[in-house]
Amino acid sequence: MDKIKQFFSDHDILILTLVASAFSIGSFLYYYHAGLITAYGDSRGHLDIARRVVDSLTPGVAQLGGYWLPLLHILMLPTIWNNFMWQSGLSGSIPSMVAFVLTVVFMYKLVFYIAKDKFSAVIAASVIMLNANLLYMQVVPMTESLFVCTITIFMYFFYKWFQEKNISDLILAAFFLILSSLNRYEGWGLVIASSVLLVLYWAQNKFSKKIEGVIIMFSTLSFLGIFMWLLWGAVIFHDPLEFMHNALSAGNQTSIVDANWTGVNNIGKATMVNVYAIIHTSGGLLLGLCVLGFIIFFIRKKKHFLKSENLILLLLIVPMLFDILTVYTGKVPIEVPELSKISFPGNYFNIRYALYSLPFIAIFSSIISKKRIVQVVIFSFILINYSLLGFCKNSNIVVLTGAGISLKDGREQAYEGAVDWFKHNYDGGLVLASTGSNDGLMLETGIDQKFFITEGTYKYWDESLKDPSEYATWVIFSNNNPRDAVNKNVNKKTLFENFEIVEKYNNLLIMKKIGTN
Amino acid sequence: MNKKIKEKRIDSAIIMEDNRLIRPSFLEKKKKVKVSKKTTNFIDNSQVGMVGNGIYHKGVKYITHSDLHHKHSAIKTFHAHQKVIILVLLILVIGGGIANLQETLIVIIAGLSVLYFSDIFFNLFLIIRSFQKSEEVQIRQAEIKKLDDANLPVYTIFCPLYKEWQVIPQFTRAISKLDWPKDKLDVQLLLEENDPETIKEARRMDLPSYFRILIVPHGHPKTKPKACNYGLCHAKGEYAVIFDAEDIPDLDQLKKAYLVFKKQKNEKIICAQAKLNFYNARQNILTRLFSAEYALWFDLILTGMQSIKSPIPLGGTSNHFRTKDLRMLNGWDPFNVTEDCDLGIRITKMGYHTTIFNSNTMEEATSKVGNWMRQRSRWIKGYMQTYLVHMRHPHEFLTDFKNPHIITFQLVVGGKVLSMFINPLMWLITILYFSMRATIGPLIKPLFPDVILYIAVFSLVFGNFLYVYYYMIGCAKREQWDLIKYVFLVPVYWLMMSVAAWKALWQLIFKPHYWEKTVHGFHLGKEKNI
Repeated sequence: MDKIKQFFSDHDILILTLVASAFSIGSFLYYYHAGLITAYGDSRGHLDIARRVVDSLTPGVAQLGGYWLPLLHILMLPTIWNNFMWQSGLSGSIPSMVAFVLTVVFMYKLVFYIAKDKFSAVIAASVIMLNANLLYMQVVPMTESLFVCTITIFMYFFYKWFQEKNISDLILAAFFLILSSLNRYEGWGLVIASSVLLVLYWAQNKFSKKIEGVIIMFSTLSFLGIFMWLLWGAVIFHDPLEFMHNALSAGNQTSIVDANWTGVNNIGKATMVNVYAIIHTSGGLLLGLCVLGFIIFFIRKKKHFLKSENLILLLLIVPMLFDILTVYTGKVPIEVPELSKISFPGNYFNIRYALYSLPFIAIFSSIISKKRIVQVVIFSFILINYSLLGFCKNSNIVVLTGAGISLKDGREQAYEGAVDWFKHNYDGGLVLASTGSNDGLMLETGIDQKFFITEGTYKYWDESLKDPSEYATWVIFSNNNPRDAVNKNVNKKTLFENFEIVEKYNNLLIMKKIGTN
Repeated sequence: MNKKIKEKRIDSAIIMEDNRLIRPSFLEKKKKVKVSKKTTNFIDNSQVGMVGNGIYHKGVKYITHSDLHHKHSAIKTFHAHQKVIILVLLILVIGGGIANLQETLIVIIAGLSVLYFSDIFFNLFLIIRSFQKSEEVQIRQAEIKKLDDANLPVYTIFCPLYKEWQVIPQFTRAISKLDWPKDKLDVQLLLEENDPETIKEARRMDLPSYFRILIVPHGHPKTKPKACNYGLCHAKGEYAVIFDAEDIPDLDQLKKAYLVFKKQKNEKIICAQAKLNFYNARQNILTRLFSAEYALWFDLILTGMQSIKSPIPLGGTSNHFRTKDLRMLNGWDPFNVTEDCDLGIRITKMGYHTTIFNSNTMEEATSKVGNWMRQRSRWIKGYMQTYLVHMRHPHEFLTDFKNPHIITFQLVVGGKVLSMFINPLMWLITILYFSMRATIGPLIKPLFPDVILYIAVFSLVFGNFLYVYYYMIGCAKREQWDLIKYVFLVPVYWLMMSVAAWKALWQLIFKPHYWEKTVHGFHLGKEKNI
């Protein structure tokens, strides 16, 4: 028995890696067979962006675009050239799945480092590993799993630096912050907050030269991602704030869709939306454990709670604070059934963002006590919590419900027939279509991206909007969709003079150049 | 008018009252000696050891006090086949330019970009290695305490001095504080025969008994390595080390170095290099940046290089040897103006290793731009000489296929110098492209096909950032936290390096063996900065 114990103790990281990998792969196989890997509209957009770097009328890194941060797309580049990897979504699933495994491992390491107790670390790792919503998000080509991963690893090294003061930990913490900030805009909040925390630490250490150097060193690296993205915007789009001004940016899109999002200009509601979102994605019982853990942590550290060494763990709540702010300002909405008053795009919209609080929840729910009996009770609560959340029932996975809702909206219904029709009737020539509203169609038809004239194809796009017949043989657009840049900007007169409607699905028009049949 | 000048004798030389130094041999009529026109080594059988030995070259007799074969010396800057290669390359570039200027420029830019790109990752790799696997030998105080002074051997300290007598008192104090039995110290002040003022001042000082003054006979080349070779011929110690006159080594450095050799099971380690930094780092911005550079070099790059057993260019001082090993290596090349770098490479090529150990020597960072420029251009010229010397027979690097020294040598010595020439060129192209996009942009853009553009842009943005950041890490590792903020000025420092590189290139062609003397002692009187 002792030998078995010793074996598990010596090989804990390896065993955890294998278990997390099994969960990750199992989840992937399940959702792959269910055909849900690219259920999210955004996932198709991510795949197409990466694909256009290597397969476009004007290929190159500029195709990475200016509104979605580029980390996921860059990580897809080694495999996206392959048609199967692109169309199946596997190209994006792989980085997400690797990120999931790393999150589990580093959460284990982090909590073990904090609590010096392996069972606490196992509890924390389980909170991550058993979350059905994260298990779904880690198989889709989206940014959630990567973000949870990068902030967890950041926290591990940052916390370790505070304890041991090794430069390499500080550099690695800053490096993972770069990755966070190149993945989600919530990461930008974390970059700023961690620098502010260091400034506080500097003040608490009588403005020592050493901490001054640390702040410069840390901030120089951690702000690099933000700086690079602004520079990218300035160089490629001549606007460092392109990500805000782009027609496809979240802020612009929400203003197009509906101005009555929940929580706009109401900080209380904006906060509650996020709290409900956490309850839906992680479970109320788990949130309760987290709150209890936080209170116990506060009581334990009472006298020194405001010391930077203790405040550091609170940094993990910054992404949620960032989301409260974006809900409040109406930039990025989150909708929950308890508070939502609007029907489109529906309840649970963007609810997946609440998963960014999972590392915070995992830490505080696992460090409540080191007494084994209490830990067993906590672990049982976590299992009950996740069972109630229903990780094995599709219909109860709210992030999937969010994706399902998007499948049912007008655009998706149009795609169901349009994809099949276009696959069988496309006979060559360039296609004028907007990426903002037709990413799914571009992906699912399997036609090489180099045959599409889209927003990132420079003169082809600009001139085709003036006169579609200049380059295009086909034009596809939704004639009632304000997000569709072709519908919005094309010269309709020349379009209808030179093209005829060959197929129509709801409001999606497929037009072909007259005389090319 | 035949005013009689008072004179007094010092060793074999005569110092006149007006400080001219005359050696009796100078007064003798020059005897006609048959000197070989061919480049060849010679031995002076009338002297003991390597004293008086040297090289005949172009009909001139050069006394180097070393048996280093002329093939391993920088006495010839370019060998015939190197001249041919350079000529062929020039013809290819000019011919290519005439045939198709754009394509030729694309090839050149591609080559430079790839090299720059490789250098970035090589340095990153070294820095990661230096964190992961620090091979710096650690000697603990407990081990030092166990040493019995009675069993310690004699240690020779070489201190070459030239027209810098002002720093002798500081050096004497530093050496007298060293933790080593004084009766087992053999400190040699290596003075040049044509430097009567230093000789006079040194004689006048009340030097400790374990100091001795050795006067290096006048003759060309007049370089530090030649003086050190002369000292090596007269060394009494079992171990030997070089310190510059302005150096302040850690008090226990000799014992640590001794233990490094004692502890090493690997007989292949024949040189122990202490780390260098500056005691006047905070004197001005230049010394701050210089100090940051040293921190990066000694605390990160060299330890990283050691971990991959790459050739290590030694620092100019504080390299410790067993004297017998140093003699086996034939000492230093007096024609190479960075004889330390050359010796480091030679050590690796001969199948031996250098190790870094946990001791520091504090030096004086030159605090004046002109002085810095002289020193730096000499260093860069020396790196070029070293590169040319060791690339005469590149196959000599290929003895150990597990450790491809030929590649690391290209990056460490060749790439380091080349990047100083590339840097301003790339910056200029970038500035021109963005500032005159409408007019010059269309001319520049075709020179960067997609892949090259990505490599070049990556190198420009991330490369420059990473290099700046490496300096910060260096400062942090050395705990020089207050210097970190000055690292943002490093690009200016690089620009100065590029200027020095061009000066070095000019000197390499026209004055290859000229030793630009770095003046020391500017920190004296500014102790508050130290």
